[in-house]
Amino acid sequence: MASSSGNDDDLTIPRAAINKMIKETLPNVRVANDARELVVNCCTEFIHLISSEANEICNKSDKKTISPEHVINALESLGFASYITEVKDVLQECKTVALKRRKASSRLENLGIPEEELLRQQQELFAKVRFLEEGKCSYHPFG
Amino acid sequence: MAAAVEAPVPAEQDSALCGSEGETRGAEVEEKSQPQTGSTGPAVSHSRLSKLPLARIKALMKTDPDVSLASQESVFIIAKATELFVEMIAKDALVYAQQGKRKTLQRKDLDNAIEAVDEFAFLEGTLD
Repeated sequence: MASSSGNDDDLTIPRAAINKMIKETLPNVRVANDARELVVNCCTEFIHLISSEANEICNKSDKKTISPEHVINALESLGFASYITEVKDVLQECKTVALKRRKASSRLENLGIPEEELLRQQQELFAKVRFLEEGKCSYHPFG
Repeated sequence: MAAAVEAPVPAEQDSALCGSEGETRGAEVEEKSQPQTGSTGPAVSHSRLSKLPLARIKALMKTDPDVSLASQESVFIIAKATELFVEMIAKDALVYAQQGKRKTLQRKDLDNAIEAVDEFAFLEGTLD
């Protein structure tokens, strides 16, 4: 869906994502379209609510960037404390994935070939391809 | 697309939008440069950990001029909280539909849920 409007304030969570979540939560229930629309808009409000609260909490702390901690405190103060356990679980997963990633990329670096050498090889390969491509062009089949 | 060996391709344009503290780069889970259909922002596809597009959530957060920078992980958990919110409100609304002996969830069921639940008070007046 091309966004031609460019108006920031029309942003919402994609309808398809909401539909999917509703379907997973209420598997055999039909949901009216205007109800779905309302859910989409409620999500927008929810996000604004949490961000705003987290932002305030952040401002009061000595940090400039909203952290997960701020968000968790926001959830608590807004009455969504019941979400915190699951949110924390997912945060943990997130950190684990990040950790694996960092390990993976450092493993890659430890292949033994220094990056400069790999880059040089890459440039060589590109040059070869270019050479071959140019070669192809000069033998134009249609003369 | 040439698979350069230089750094895994994080969506740099993405961490530029939000503050990137050292630990948050790692939180850019699954950020390959896949184009995401329907996304207005940079090509950050949702990771397998989140059902909602992180870029969109970030964009929504930024429409509030007061909101400062947010770490990727924060955006992430806001995404998760939003998922939980949808679950919660849908289930609450279902109760009203069932009371009305209907099999179709209607807008008014959501309205009832919003009115009944304190935490949803912020939603009163949404989409009037």
